[in-house]
Amino acid sequence: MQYRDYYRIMGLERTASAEDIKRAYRKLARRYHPDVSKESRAEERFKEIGEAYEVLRDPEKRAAYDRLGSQWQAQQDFTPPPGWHGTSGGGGGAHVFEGQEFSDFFESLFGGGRRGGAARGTDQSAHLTITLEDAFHGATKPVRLTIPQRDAQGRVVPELRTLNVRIPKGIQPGQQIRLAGQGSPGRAGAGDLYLEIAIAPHPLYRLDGRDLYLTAPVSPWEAALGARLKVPTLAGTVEVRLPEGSQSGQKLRLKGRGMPGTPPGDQYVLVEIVNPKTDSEKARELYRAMARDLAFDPRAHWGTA
Amino acid sequence: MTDALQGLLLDEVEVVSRADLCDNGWVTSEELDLLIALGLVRQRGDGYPAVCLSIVRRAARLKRGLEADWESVAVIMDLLQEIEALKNELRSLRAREHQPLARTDGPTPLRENERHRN
Repeated sequence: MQYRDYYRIMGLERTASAEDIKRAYRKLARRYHPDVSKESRAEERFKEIGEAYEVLRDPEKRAAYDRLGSQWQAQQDFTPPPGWHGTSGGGGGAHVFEGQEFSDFFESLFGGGRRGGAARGTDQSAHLTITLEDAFHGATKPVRLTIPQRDAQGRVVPELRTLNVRIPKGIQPGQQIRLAGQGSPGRAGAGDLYLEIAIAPHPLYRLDGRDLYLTAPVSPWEAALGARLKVPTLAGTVEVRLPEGSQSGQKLRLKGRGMPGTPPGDQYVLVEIVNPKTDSEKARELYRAMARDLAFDPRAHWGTA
Repeated sequence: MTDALQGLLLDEVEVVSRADLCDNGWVTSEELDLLIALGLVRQRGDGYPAVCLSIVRRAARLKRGLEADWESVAVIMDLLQEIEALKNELRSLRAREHQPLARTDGPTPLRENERHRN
């Protein structure tokens, strides 16, 4: 196992006072607490800090840790000195982030931090990104997880697990599903697994709450004269009447065609007029004819003519 | 591979009990009362909306990790919620600005007037 330099983790000198340690922890917690942090790998870093603080804040544990001496380097291969007696109990884990298991290094010095007291296994979190179609129809998705377990020797070992999870239809991004008993095992039952759902961006639809937005490219004559458009929805294609005289930016509402819910969302179709290319003399002639015959100035209201 | 697991969706519709909120070791019964008094947790009928499980769990994590009192946790939670809502709105507005036209290669016209028309 590797030696952990708790002072270096917290950016402290070995001579730091109890007050220094508390202040350093609070500063680091503000920066790396996974719920408020913008840093990448915040959770990993926060767990490291939590473990370091667990040792350094407790005078007994700190004294025991200090007895190892200062000649050790971080990540150096470490075995406790012969006849080592750390402090017992490991502490209540008051500053340990949920789902955290202490490092083997900590365990070898102070015994089972959580094994001793924790009756129930720790809760675990995972993220799952699903497609918009899965969110709309509901789905069963495999979720691959690494759950910390203890082997026969009490060492923390990652266990790879695949769960097949039912995703209810109409689920929203950011919502969580609790899977009872799927967290880490414990003496008085396993913890729970909290699965947070994200929805991948879709090439056609944009999700806003329960409403869906779809851009419909239309030709100038469809917009001007009206048309019947075949419009995709997540439940299948529907025919929509584009009213005569439609303009770019106008929205058509398909009531109840958004994400399922109580009430369900709507689907909005955004009209976007696309002009044909002028890649032939015939096309240019048609544009010239319109310019000649329509007497249309889209900027008349500027008064700059 | 196991059979499909049916979890509990933590939304406003599903309901959880007081025991569900207190038996995970996150908060005591007294602390839950304080969270209710602070407006973080809402009661509904004889239970709580299931989303309160997410709320209580996050609040407990913040309290422990930041060594904050519950009153400060309530302020932090409000601010985090507001940041999330603003981020979502920003994402939505950006997606709207950059939404590509399906199956065309023409330039996307500016749609500044769209917002006023909605």
